[in-house]
Amino acid sequence: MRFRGLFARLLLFVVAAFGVMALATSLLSGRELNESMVREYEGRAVALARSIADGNTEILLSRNAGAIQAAIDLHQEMGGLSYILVLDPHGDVVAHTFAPVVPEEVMAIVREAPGKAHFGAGHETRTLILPGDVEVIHVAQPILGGKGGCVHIGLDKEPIRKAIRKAIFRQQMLTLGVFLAFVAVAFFFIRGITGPLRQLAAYAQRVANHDFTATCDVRSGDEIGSLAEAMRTMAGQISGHVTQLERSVAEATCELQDALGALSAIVGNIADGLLVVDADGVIVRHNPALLRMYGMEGQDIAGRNCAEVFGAQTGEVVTRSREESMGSAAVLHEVLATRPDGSQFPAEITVSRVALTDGPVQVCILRDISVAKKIEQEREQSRVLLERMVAERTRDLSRTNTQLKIEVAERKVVGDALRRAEAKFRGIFENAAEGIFQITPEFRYLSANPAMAHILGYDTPEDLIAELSVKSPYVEPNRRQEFLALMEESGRVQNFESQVRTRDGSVLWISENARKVVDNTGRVLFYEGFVSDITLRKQAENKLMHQAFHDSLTGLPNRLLFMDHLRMAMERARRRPNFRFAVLYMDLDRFKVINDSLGHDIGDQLLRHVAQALMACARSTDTVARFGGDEFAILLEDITAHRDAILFCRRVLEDIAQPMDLDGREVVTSGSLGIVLRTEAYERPEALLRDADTAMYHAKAMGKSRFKVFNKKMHTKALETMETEIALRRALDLNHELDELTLLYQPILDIKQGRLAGFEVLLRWRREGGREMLPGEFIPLAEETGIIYPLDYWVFAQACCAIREFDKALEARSPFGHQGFATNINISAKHFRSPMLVGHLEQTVRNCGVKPQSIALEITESVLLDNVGSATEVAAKIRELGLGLCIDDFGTGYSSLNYIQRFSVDAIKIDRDFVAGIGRAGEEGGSEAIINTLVTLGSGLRLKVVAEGVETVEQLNYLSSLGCRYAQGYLFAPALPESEALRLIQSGAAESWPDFPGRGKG
Amino acid sequence: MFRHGKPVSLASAACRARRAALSLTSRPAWRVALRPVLCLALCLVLAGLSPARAAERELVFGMSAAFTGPARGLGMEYYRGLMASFEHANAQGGAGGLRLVLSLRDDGYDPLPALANTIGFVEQERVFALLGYVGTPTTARVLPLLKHYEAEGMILLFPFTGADLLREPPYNSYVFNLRASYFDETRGVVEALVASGKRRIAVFHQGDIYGRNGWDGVRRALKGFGLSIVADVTYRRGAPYTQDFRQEVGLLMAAQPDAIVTVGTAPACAGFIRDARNAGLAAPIATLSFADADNLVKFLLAQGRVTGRDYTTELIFSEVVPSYDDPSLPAAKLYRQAMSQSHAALPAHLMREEYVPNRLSFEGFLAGQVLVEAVKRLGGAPTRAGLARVLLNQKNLDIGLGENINFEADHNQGLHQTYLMVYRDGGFQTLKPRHGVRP
Repeated sequence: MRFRGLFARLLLFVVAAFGVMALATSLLSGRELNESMVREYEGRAVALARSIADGNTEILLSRNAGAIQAAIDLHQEMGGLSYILVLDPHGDVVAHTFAPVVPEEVMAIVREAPGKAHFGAGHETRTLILPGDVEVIHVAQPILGGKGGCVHIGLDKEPIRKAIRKAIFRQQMLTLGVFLAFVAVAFFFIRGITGPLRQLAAYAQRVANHDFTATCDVRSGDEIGSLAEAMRTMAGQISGHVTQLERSVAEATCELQDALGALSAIVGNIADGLLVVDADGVIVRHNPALLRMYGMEGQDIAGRNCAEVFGAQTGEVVTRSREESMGSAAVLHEVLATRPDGSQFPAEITVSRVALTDGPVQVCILRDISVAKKIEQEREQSRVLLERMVAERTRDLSRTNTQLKIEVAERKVVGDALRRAEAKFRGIFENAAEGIFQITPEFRYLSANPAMAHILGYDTPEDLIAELSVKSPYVEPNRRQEFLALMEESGRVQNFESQVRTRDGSVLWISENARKVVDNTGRVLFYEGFVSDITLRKQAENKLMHQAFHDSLTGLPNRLLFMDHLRMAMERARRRPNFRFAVLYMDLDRFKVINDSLGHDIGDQLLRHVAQALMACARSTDTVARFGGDEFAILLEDITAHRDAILFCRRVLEDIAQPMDLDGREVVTSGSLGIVLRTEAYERPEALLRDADTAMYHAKAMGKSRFKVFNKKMHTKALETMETEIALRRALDLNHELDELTLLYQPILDIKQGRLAGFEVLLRWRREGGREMLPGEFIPLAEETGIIYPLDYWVFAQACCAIREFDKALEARSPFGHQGFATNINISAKHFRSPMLVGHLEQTVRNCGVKPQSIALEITESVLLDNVGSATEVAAKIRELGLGLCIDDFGTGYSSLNYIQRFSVDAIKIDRDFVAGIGRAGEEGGSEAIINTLVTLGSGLRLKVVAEGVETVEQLNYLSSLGCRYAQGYLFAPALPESEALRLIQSGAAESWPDFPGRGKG
Repeated sequence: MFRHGKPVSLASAACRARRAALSLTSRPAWRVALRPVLCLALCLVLAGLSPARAAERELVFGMSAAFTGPARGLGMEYYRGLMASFEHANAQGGAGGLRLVLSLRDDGYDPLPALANTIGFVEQERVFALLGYVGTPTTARVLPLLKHYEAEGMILLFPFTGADLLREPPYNSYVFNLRASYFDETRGVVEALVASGKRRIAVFHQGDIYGRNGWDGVRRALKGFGLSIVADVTYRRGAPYTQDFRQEVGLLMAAQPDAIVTVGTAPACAGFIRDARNAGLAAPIATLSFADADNLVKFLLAQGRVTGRDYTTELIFSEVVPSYDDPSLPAAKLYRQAMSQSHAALPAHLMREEYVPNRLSFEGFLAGQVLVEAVKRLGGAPTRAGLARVLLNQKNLDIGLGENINFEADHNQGLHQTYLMVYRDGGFQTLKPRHGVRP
């Protein structure tokens, strides 16, 4: 606070000094400014007055008041004058700028002007107060020395005063600003000096109060800095001294307290009694143990006489010892002490003399030694007892020794028996056919028998143990781990079959059975087990397995394996989006022909050959399978593009088409391939295979040695076909209910005699929904699916029944007159491969009771062509039955005359296309010539020739002219239901056709 | 000034230029500047298109007057009269084939705008001549400018002021005055007052050149009778009717005058008369022509309706034109006819009152008629010098006023007769014309 006072005083002084200075300056300069400005304005007013008087002399002299007024108006406006007044030389007012009148003050001056002695001398300046407290500087300026009158002007002092006030104010503000700046500077300057001083004072104060943690930040190069530095050093030194002093005092105190504490603890807690007496035998000090010893707990005996308290004897010892112990160490006495209650106990007293400041004292330690004496007696008793016990023990031991000797003899006997047994088992071990081994979990062989060594190709078990303990015999590297795992899992291994490598490197299959041997703590000792060589059994198994999944003839995978592979490929494709595969289905063209004609041996060879060709084309990852017969399937896996599959097909077709030499015969075959490329959409392998099959059928239908890629259209067509098949089967099975299948009978006329010569039986199928199916639409399907057999049998049976009716009707009209009346029934070529046909026909004919001569079978040329061998046989049998045989559409196929002879055909039919060509020689030349040839051929071979599809009279006439005897067609009648056909016969058409064209009614 | 071009476009161009000039104080400077430039450009283009159509040539005159402020009545009425005369002449095919156009600018009875307007007329619009300036202080300030434009022969025609300054050297050669001077008027008034036995005559005048001129006139006239002004008071130019003049009245009444001559504008004089009559001053009060008797009476009648007393008695109005009601004057007849046909092409924002016949517009009309007659005689190539020559040369021009007009080189004032009137029975009555004397 002292320093705060110093700061304030200094500042006050500076402020006061500056303040007085500024005030003086301001007042002085304000006054000077005022005076100078007043002077300046007065000068200006005079100058203005003079300029008006001198500058407008001409106007002023003109006495034209208006012009003068204009001039002074201008001047007043320009000079900022408060008024101008012009007098003429007579002193009359000529013009002025007052409103409304010239003030009296001014008029007074104006009136006195002419009378003035010095009027002409020059201007006159005075200050006037006008009404309204307006102070003006009035200047009167004579014109031309008064001859031209006088100009009076007034300059308002108010603006002057305002300007002066403003200037002074500005100056004072400046002074004030400077003053304030000085004060601020002074403030900071003084604070710069007093601040460190104040800090130093505070610092010193704290040091004085023993606060040495305080620091002083004052650092400068001046005197204050040095002062601060000196103070800091001083404070540091004082602090050091004081701290050290305090510390040593504290340490000493502490040590003393510790010593005292320890001492009193010792005194209080020792079991011996402590007694301190002074020279007079007065008790100075004692401890609780002493009181306990004497049975005086709780009593205060300090200050009492020792002999008085503890008895004369003790007292005497204590005091007597004083002399003895003088100058020497402790003196030991044994006394019989007496307690206050009279009981006595032996005590040991140690007396020592200690010189204290208050005088020498006797320090006595008393010990009750009655217990020690008692223990000595007990020890003696124990020694005697021990000696007695040792003697007894020695007797027991000699007895036990005798028993042990007997046991040793017994054990020797048992050991001999064991050795004998072991020799017996070792014989078994050595001579067993199976390998026996013991092995540690680390696969170190403990033992192995000779059979084991033999199996694995070692000369002796020792060799085996030496070698196999180092390396694994297993072909699979992880086999040992598997063995271990099994062992650890169940404690035994059974039928553990694995491939092992014998010493010479050959591979064997062995089967191991082993178990874990543990000791009674459960620790694994070793594994022991048997090994048998199962190589032969394995080989047999593999062979069986191969046979199950492979075709025995070609060695190719069979359908089962193929389907498995296909399924896996589909799986893979599902997992890997870029995995592509294709499925191919192949059928050999005309394999049956080769098989039938050249024999099964050759057929088998051919299949093997084809299989090899396929294998050669396929990659190792592909699967080539034989499905039986001449059907093969190929699975091309992991192809990069569809083109790969196409290329494969081309190569296969090319390779297969190569002529091959089989047993010295050159055989040529070809295949048809169906491919499914877009395999990703399929769910089931069966569907995939089905579609490949479909595609293959399409390829076949298009001609041999081709391939076809399955597409959607095929699928649709296959579906349609299937539907049709189902519908057809249903129609056939349920015909008596549905009545969808009907037979129609188209009359065949003998155009020579103009009578009915027979019918052709035509099958009509009206499908559910009323759609008429022509035979051409569904017969190929029926043939393909095999429905043709029941269908044809059904047709045949139905027709036979009808024919019997026809026969009856014919006989009714004329029992003898209908030679050659026959009804033609179409039979599919398929039947000619079936051995059942003839028997069936025979049975039906017999069942119906119809004459075989009334029936003729119509077949197409292709029947004969496809299957020459069996067909010939069948045809012969049919002829034997007495049925007629007619070749349909003769001339459109191969038209082999050989067949006609071989099959003993009795009729041929001219195709409707040829008939339609009659009379249109220009367009389709040759029809007439062909018909002509056929008719000639027929007559030459004594065949019935029937022209089909006769629709015009011209055709009829032409055929007649050629000598063609039979014809059918719309010209005569369409196909008729059975009832109408029957009515026709009943009406006598068989004798004469009622309305025979070309001949009129006659 | 002389232009070729289509009448419609030129008329509209001129009109636009006028409007731009009138709105000088209220519009942004660039727009004001832009419009005349555009108009000028248009005019030049059109002038180039049709150089040979003499019948459509026109003469443009610049008029700066008060169209706003207390004195605006003067400017408007004088303009109306001029325009009536111009339209009358233009309707009959122009003055000597020349179409007369009046371009106007507002100075608000203030000398400085008048100065600026004049410079604008001469340098921007390049008018043929200045015409019909209204007011003494404004016109007096313009006079040195005319001297400045001496080389171009610029002249001021028929300003509406009677100030002596316009009739004396050094400026009398740039000005043609039609009306009688204030000296003429004050002399007439003082003579009439003295004749009726008034000896103590006081003056109430405007504190500027106009007022001082009137004051001087009164002083000079009284001097002829050995008398002097017993008292005079001034008022500041631009005083409105509402101003309090009781102090002025009091100052004059202290001198006990038996007649008062006022030299001021209509609102100021009316205000003074109002306060004088209210203060019980019954002495006759005379006014000069510039005080616009019609307007002044209008103020007093309105005041009379409020206070219920008649302020119009004992008033003498000095005029420089005869009554437009006088049936014996052909000029008055023509004036009334022309005014009834006039379309009063004053800009709408300045046209606040309906037209009524008025002495000011009559005077304007007469000025226009003199100008028309002069232009008719100009011949094919109008020049300013030519116009001055025609005016000086035509002797005893009769425009149907009963007084022939003569201009001379040393005397540039056409008319000298003054008329004293009183307001009686709701109308003005001419006491007697006083024939002017050429000095």
